[in-house]
Amino acid sequence: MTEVTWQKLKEWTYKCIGCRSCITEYKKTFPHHRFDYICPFDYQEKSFTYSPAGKIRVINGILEEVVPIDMHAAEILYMDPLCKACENDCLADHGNHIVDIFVAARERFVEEGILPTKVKEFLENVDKYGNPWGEPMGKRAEWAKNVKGVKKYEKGDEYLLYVGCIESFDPIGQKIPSAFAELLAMAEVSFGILGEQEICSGNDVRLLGEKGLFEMLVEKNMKTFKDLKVEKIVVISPHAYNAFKNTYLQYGKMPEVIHYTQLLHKLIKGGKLKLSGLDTKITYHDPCFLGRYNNLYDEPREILKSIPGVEIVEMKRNKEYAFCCGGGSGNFYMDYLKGDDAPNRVRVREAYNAGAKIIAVACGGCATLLNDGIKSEDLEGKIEVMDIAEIVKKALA
Amino acid sequence: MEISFQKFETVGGRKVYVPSRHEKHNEILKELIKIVGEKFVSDDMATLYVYGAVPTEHDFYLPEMVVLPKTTEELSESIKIANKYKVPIQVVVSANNTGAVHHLLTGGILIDLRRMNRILEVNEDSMYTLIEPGVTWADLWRYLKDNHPDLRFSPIFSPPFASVMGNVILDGHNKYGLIYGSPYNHAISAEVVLPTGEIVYLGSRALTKYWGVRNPVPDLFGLFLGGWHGATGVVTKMAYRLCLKPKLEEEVIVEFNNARDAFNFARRLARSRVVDVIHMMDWRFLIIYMMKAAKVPPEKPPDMLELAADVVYSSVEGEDEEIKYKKKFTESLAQKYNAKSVKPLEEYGPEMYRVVSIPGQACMNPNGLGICFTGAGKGSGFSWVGGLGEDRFFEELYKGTVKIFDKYDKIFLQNFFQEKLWGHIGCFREIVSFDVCDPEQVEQVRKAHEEEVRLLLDHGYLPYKPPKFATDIIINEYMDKGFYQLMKKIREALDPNHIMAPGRWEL
Repeated sequence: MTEVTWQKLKEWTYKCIGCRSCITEYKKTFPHHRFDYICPFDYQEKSFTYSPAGKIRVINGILEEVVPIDMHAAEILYMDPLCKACENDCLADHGNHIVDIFVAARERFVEEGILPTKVKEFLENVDKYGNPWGEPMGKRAEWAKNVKGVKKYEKGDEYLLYVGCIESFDPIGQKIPSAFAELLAMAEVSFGILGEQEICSGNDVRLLGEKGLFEMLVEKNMKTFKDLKVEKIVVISPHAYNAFKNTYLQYGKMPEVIHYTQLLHKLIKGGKLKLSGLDTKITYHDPCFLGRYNNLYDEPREILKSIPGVEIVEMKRNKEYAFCCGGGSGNFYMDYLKGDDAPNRVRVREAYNAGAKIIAVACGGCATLLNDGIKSEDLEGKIEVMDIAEIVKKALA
Repeated sequence: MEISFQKFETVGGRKVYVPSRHEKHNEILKELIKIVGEKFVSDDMATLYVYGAVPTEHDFYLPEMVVLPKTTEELSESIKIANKYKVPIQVVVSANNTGAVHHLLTGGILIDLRRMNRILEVNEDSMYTLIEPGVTWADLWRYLKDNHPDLRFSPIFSPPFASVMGNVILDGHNKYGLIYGSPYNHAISAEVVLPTGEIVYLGSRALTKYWGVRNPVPDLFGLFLGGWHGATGVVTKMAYRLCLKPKLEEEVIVEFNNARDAFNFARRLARSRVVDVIHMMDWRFLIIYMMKAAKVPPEKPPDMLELAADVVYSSVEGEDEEIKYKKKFTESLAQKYNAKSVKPLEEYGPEMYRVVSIPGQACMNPNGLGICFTGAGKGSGFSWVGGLGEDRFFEELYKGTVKIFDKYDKIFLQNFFQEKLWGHIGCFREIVSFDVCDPEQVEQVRKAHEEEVRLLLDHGYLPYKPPKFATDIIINEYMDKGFYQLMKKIREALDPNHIMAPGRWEL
């Protein structure tokens, strides 16, 4: 960080007066207040320290040289999915920069080498293996082994299908590219994957404060896209979608980037995929990196609406006020989700109380964590998590 | 044990006091961990700073450790540990009191009750709720809306994360003060942990298994409610009265060109017992707030008036005729006192709704009250002094306050008035916004607030949630010596080791 940025950070921390618009849904409720909590870790921990305002105070204390840069402060600042819900209703000058404040502070912790063990592991694994779990690169495309129509990207293919880390390695996450690839093949869309050449997009690496590693990943990914002359990328992971769509542009020209739900929506609308029906009640959980980060709320809902027989029920907190599952900024890899009020459990309860039988997701991280939430809540058999592509596949004629 | 402080200075000249550690710090820590679990005891500087920092003119006093118990038993055991080692304690819920009354002035254990957040009962028949201290007003509001839509309580004029019980205990501000009076009048039974760790009950719960009545057992609530600042014990469960939600309710804004007319209107209307809410605010604040918070400047800014009164009237049974009468009465009285207009709140848009419904949050929001400074200055500061007294002094307080603040030209003043208990009580508070990074402004706020406290007391107003500087002024210059000695004796009897909130209401 430059000296000027550090100074800006200090100013921002003094703009926060702790009104905590960052933890409760507020603006939308006019004229009928609800005051639902929207900050996942403030809700889990029930401690001022873990609210965005509390974390801003920790950073202020560091800048005032009262709070040392130590493991305690690191644990507080890293227990945050950076879901951006805190920015919804904050009207202060720093209101649109709360995530920037946390990222800037985390960069300082990376510089000092003071990081929680799992964060360190995450970053080292991405550095060495291109994914957070330290899995061999060769395993990246194992999900595609039994999926018809999946091949490596070749010049002339309309789309490069970029999968993402969780969706490549996690058994639950893997269901998304598998279903989506089958749908693409059915709709006769030409596409290919990178296979073992695919590496992490770095979205969460950047949010964890490892700017150097992020820039290295940007360079490698952009080179791959350039070498393969990719013109369009369809992305499974909303985390990667966010990085490609927004952050990568600061480093150069990018191919056209769309999320898989956007392409699915287009294919259904264009009659390339015919849906027969599904008799069930579905609620859609907005992933932060699609919703709050990219304002993409409608396409996934439109897809579900287009399935005959499906009843869509909204959870109380939806769209920009959706309650995060807790997995952002690498949290899907950490051990921060704990107790009855862990964000994934809270969200599952909310979906169940809304009367849904299926929680529709559009992110591998959300799928994994909400699935864990169902187990912890002992709701197996009563509600299940399915991604949009799986649901569409099931609803096909 | 002698406590020393390490001092740091922040950008705006405010000091950070970091207490030296108790000689048995590690033993205390271990024993507390045994009671509440490792995750809920912290002594790291990051956590301590969070609980000590304030967005006001006050210095930061950091505790030595922070403990978050989940149950009354855990709290009681923690207090016994504090007694064993004679270490001071202060109990808080959200730890964001503007007057910094949550600060431990002597170092020690800060106990945050936010985890004790159960709504144990809502009794529709007897119209009360039994709550724990960590229940915020957002929690209660939402719970009633979802499960008992016919009941309501009087919303606190604090942000939604503020504790309902904290507001009751500290005699805080609340919206329906005109019909309900002070919130502590509505506390009916309670469970209390004494400074020695024993658990006792008050109200009907002290004699029976029921929570629903406060009198006629000896009323010991005053030992714990009304501004002791945690010096006498900790209320851990409280039965708190709810009311039937009116089936019809209307809210109007009455605009005045002249403050005297506004006060006369409010006093007359309060005594009529026709409406549920009357509070008044500076018009310039409302205009700036609406323009800035909406982020869309109106094409033509409204004319600058002096005061605006927010008035709510209702019909519990939903009778149109009753509403019509109340509306007509309010309008004719407004006309009699030269009001410029009476308009439904809806006409002003959501931002006006926000500021009159939850001024605490609206004012704390830097784009609300703080706007005048946050644009140009580096840091957002927010602070207030207020008190309860007789409404006949509204005009003197208004003029006196403006005069005080005229001398301190760098800070932005906002005035609030509220009629409480059918005109028996007047509530006034001035709120300032300023740049906490500017030492000159911080100093101006300190001086202005000292003058304001004296202005209030000179008019018989009792400051509520008074910060340390204010209680010092009260004790030194105003309080009857016998009363001070009585307070001291009560504290000594309840708290033989003098561990509860030392320095609060003490010189």
